[in-house]
Amino acid sequence: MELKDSKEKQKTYETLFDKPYQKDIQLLPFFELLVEMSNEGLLKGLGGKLKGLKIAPYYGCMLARPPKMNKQKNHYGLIEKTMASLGGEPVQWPFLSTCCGTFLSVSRPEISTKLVNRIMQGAIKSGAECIVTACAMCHLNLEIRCRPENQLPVFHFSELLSLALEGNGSKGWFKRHLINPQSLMEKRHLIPFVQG
Amino acid sequence: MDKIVINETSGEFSKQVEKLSHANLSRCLHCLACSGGCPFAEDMEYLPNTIIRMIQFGLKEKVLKSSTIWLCVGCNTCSMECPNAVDMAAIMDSLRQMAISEHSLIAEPGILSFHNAVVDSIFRHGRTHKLEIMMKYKFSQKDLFSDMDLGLKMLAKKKLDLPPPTA
Repeated sequence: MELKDSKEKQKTYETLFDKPYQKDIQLLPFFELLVEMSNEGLLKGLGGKLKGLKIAPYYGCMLARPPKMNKQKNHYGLIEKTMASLGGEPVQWPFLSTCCGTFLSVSRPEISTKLVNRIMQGAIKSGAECIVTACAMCHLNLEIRCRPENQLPVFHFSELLSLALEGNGSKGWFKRHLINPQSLMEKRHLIPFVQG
Repeated sequence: MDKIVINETSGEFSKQVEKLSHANLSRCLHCLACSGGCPFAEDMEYLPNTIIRMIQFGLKEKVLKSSTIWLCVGCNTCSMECPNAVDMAAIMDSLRQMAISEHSLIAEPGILSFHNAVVDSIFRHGRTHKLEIMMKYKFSQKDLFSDMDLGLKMLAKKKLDLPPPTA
């Protein structure tokens, strides 16, 4: 955003990366790509494979931004929109944008544990069957710092997208989850779970 | 909360912070929206808006030595809550910079060593090598065994790569 408007910043870019600045290249966050796709109607009627799956959408602090960007468009609601177009049912819950503790999970795990379990309990109370996040760091923190009694499967939303879209291309992938989503996936007839 | 005794005044402090963070401290209404929204507030020595007040009083040493500035992860929740567009996260960021450059006592050395391990790794490989970062951090803390079971589980699930990443 700033790079586009500032000649000075473009110069810094050129000296840092030793490449000319190309003003036609536009950086598009993954999220915005999905907005575009949804605007063009590409996310509609995808078969409803996630039918009835109750989802707690979790953005964490990913969409929070400095006041300078207050007037930019915001993307809250996109996980809900995408998941609903695949047949999922997003729930309303209070922790959708509460930070998971990021790196404090390493250096002050007790703080992160407290936050993560608060978030997980909130999701369970809201009646969700799983949490869908858009951030890999949140995904990891929710899985590793969650106490056994609060465990709820966590998916990155691209995982559910691929599940709903491509059928069995993700075989063997879901066993890499630290919170095993197998029973939920079987219950919802989502994918044959490959053991091994 | 305990009383904060004003026993030092660094008149330049608030100007320094404003210059580094590009935030306008005098816009703060002390409405506590930032402190109410901050997920880490309950573990902080001083609340985020208290930090602003302390900067205004010139309590440089107290602020730079506090745990608050290190427990802030810069998640920007406060900046979203603030009705008056004070960039709290940027203020915390500049306070961390000042604490390092002025060799102030670091209240949370563990957090700083973790940051350093991450930055070192990026300098070496062009991106992060998680296993190396964790090993370095664990050695710096002389704490090799906490989360050991977790690390092994993550290795088994192929969540940590053994060789460093190729750029």
